[in-house]
Amino acid sequence: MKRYRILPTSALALCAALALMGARAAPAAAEEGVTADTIRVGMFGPLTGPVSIYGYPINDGALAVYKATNDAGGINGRKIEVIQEDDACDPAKSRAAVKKLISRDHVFAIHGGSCSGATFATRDTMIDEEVPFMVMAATLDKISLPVNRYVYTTTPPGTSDGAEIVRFIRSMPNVKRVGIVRHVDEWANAKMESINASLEQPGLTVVANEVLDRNATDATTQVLHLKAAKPDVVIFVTYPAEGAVFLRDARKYDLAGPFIGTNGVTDLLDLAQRAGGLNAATDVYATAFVAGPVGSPAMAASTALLKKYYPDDRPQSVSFYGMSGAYAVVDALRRAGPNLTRKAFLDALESTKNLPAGPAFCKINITPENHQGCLAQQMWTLRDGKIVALGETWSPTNPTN
Amino acid sequence: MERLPWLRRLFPFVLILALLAASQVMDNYLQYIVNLVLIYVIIGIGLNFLLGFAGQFAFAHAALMGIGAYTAALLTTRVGLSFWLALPLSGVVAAVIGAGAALPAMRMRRVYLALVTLAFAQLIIWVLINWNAVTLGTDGVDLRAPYLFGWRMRGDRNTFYIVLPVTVFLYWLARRVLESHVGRAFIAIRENEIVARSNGISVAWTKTLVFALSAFYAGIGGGLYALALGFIVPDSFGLGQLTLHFSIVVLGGMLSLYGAVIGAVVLTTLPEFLRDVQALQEIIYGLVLMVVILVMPQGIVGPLKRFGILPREVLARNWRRLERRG
Repeated sequence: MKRYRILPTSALALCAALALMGARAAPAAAEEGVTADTIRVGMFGPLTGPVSIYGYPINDGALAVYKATNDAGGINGRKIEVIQEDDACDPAKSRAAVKKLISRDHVFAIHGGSCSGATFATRDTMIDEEVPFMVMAATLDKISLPVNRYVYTTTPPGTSDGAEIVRFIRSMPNVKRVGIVRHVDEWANAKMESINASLEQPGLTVVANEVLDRNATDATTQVLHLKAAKPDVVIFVTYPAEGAVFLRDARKYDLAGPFIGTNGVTDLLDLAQRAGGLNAATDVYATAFVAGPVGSPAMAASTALLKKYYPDDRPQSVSFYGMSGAYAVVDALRRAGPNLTRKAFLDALESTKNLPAGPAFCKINITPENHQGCLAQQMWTLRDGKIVALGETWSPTNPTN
Repeated sequence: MERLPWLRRLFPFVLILALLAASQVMDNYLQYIVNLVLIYVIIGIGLNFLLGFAGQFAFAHAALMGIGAYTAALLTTRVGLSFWLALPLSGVVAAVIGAGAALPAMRMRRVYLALVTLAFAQLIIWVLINWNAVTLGTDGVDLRAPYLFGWRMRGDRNTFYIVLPVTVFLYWLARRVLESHVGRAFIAIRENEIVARSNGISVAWTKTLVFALSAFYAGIGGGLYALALGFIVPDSFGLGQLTLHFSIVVLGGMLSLYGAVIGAVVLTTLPEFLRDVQALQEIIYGLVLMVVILVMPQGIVGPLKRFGILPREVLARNWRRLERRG
């Protein structure tokens, strides 16, 4: 008989445990996450799950910047302490991660988010809790628009990437008919929004608009439809694996380029390798927001920094996506002064001007009216088996834009 | 507890009061996790109707949850309907569509039914992604916090005050249904459709009912999920979500309402407990699932009932009184 008493007793015990686990701890200093010798920064990203390729590689780049800052003496006597959480690219988990960072770890600011949907799901929490948030690599426009005092990014948003592609196409002689092959997800849609808007202006006509599924292993249908439409140029808004499938099948069925990709396929050598060799990536161009290809002189300093702190990481384009945001955070922390408060930090962020962005092509400019710190990109292609920027034949956007 | 009826009756109230008291000191993170647990209790109960009690091997539960979530979010955000109306409608819409999924179940069983309902689920996700004009596609939909008597129910604790009573009501409703002749009809068609039919049970009607009821729970769970997250995308209701639902039911224990509760608690909180061992998170999670399924074929409730920690669940009202009369 007595044994059943365990049920209500355990219920009470469970709730008491919940209460104890959840009891709000008083912050150690006047400002959350700041002590006499540390500044606590939260970080989140897909450290597990099917898209963890955008987790550690991106976060490690940002962590390298923070570690280098600490090794150089820190910021106004304080070292940056980073706490990482996993969001598995899932909105429910990203909210949990952010709530934990704010409620349990009492971070001063958060630098994270590589998946657009999962990152957007945290936006209202950051704003409600008044925690400064620097987006790591997610590109969905509505994460950083409309402008909010607490949300910033230094990764070019999807719409600016799309607009850049169309600007490049308009610079090509005798190009009137445009074919498109694209994914349908929030990442591709953001780019397509500006591509469609830019293509509505006179001079260019969309003659085919094909959807390629995520994880597709065959693009025959899309290629044949495009071929029948006889486009002068083809835009492919896909991830690298599917882009390679498309280029492989385009070559197989003699669909001629030029092919213009987004900054999702910036690593053209990797794309060519996946597509079956350099021949498959002939006449392929892609936007790029990093200063140069991996291994180029423009990336030497950033690559050395990454290798110093993460010698086991293979430098790849995504390794550098989080660095520019880290430089913006470090710069603003420094300018916020020794009496660090969130208000001072936000004021400093909003006055960022012409800040070198490390491996990114841009200079970071943030104002109270514009929290998208980097919009400038280049256009890359492959020549003689090497990735080259088209600076000599095509004018990229002004890096200070 | 069978011998102490007052203790049994008191237990739910003790639990609810304890949860309410605990919510006063929980931080936002823990409160959010508790909200998710309660939502997955609803979803687990819904799937248990179908998979556990009625033995229908259907795979559309996550998609039906998505329908509920999108109904609640779209009706409030785009149509401007009150959340208090949109929430029950999210259950109703899911139930109507879920009843449609019962049609193949009239002719198919086991793996064939599983395949057809899986295709049905994929179709729903495809519609959520591609019907941009209505669902906003992969851009996702926001759901703003609702107002109650002029007070905006914003934040995790206010969400808890909405989720808790709904969960309690749906748990109570599930028990009433399962203790009625309807619940026994679910069991009958699971055991043998021919025998069920020969006992006067309309198999077609019972299947339609259990699919609709299960979908109603999935829909309400989805509506509350949209409220708890504030933003939903179609990808949230794919195979990963479905795997979670099945795991809740199988790990907690099929044929048991307690099983849905235990499964939801374990599987929602386990990834959070494993946050500090991120490198091993997926391995430990998988190992725990495998061990529980191998060692406890009836789920966690199996040994808990065997050792008297949980009371028996019998599908009849007042069965304890009838048992005492002998």
